[in-house]
Amino acid sequence: MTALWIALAVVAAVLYLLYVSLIQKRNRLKESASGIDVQLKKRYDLIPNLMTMAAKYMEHEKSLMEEITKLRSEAMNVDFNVDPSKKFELDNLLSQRLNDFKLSAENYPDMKSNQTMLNAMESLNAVEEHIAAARRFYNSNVTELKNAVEIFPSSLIAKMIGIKLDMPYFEAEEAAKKSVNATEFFK
Amino acid sequence: MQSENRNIDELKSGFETFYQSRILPLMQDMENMRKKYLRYFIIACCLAVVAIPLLMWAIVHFQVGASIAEQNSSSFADSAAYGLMAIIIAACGTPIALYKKKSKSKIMPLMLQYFEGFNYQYKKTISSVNVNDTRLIGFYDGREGDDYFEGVYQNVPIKVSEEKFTQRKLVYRNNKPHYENIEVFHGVLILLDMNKNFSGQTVVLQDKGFLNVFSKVNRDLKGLNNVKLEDSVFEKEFEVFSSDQIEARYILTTAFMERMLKLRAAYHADKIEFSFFNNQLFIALETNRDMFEPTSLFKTCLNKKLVEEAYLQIVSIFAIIDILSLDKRIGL
Repeated sequence: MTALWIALAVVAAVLYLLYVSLIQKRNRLKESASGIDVQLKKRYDLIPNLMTMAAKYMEHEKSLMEEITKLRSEAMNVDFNVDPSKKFELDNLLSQRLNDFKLSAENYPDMKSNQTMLNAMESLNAVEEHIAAARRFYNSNVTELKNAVEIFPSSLIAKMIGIKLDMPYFEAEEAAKKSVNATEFFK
Repeated sequence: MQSENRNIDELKSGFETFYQSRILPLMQDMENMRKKYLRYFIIACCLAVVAIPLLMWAIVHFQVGASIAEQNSSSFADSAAYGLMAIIIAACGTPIALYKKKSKSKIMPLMLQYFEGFNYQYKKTISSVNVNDTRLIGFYDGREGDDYFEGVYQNVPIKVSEEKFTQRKLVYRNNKPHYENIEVFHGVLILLDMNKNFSGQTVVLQDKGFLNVFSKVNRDLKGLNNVKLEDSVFEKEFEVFSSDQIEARYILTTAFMERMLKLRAAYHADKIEFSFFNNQLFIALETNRDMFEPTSLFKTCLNKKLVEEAYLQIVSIFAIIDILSLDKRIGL
């Protein structure tokens, strides 16, 4: 009889640990998703200043800058928790346009020699890297939760308590996967 | 030509001319000094060879067959004899230590002149950073610096020191407990400015497989969480802990991880660990051998080999900046 109780206690402890681990993984994923949001907010804050400064030099790139501004507003209005795929899509587009902007900036030597502009571009680069890092962290947490939800026995507990993977992987667009050499700007 | 603008290959190839014109004349003067200290050493050793057996004989001779009262009265004489033996042994080591100090103080600053703008100090430690904050060196009680130099290479400020850390531990010998200083780290510490800004701390430790538990016990990793990175090769070689998961990935990009693996391969015989904090990179390279030794009391100064070896060791430290591309502010 005692052996049965011990066996039951062990099973209960294992189930509890699996439950705790699942909840932790889900919370970590949520935390990493908000981490992306924080980094994106930094980018949204930086773009208006950058565009205002660049407007003085890059008159021929007006349409590109307008598109960036428009994409920024659209992306800002999408809540990550409501529609993560849409948020990723818009921010991917914004990343691409910002890369185009960096490349176009190459053609404006006056702007390249402006220290304030250089600092702003450097800040933008740092923010972009932080976004990339936040996305990598998010993706690794998606994988962890995905494995836990799909692999037995934690999959059983996940079903019982209704935990499912409802957040997508962040995948870079094909154009964004092509490397862009922005270092030329800083030479 | 500033060292800031010379790459490793240029530094290596140009050294021969510098050696012939600047270092060799000094080495010729140093050779007389070496011979003088070698003479002192031989005299001290000869004295030791004669005196130590005599003293030991005296101790044994006066103890055997002596009564308890006589033994008590001779305890002072015994202590004096042991003291004398210690002095003789120390006298043997003194010429080696003095020669090392004098020769290094002359040659190292001259050697570092080749890199322009580098300063050398003997027996100094990296004081601008609290080593405990780096979390790379385990718990220690004693710290001793050997060589220290600082300057700028490829526009990156760099501080290098060779140091030894010891921990006072209770050990039992012949069933008697006593404290002994156990070496916990012997190697080179390097402090570099990073090309990125960050506020948290990320520590990259060598992966020792199942022995990782012990390395964690011996260090203070409070407030740091394990970071799982996407590069499986990197994960095999290193274990990463950070106060900020996103920042750790911001610093350790795939390109940077690749460079760190390259560095690991370059120093494969040695243990190499990293700590990123205050926008700086602190590297602990555990070598367990004496580095930057351009002279030896027992080897002629006219042989270039030792100087060249020390020189290449300095260059290999600078190569870290090249391998990690810390001179490029591109954020990769």
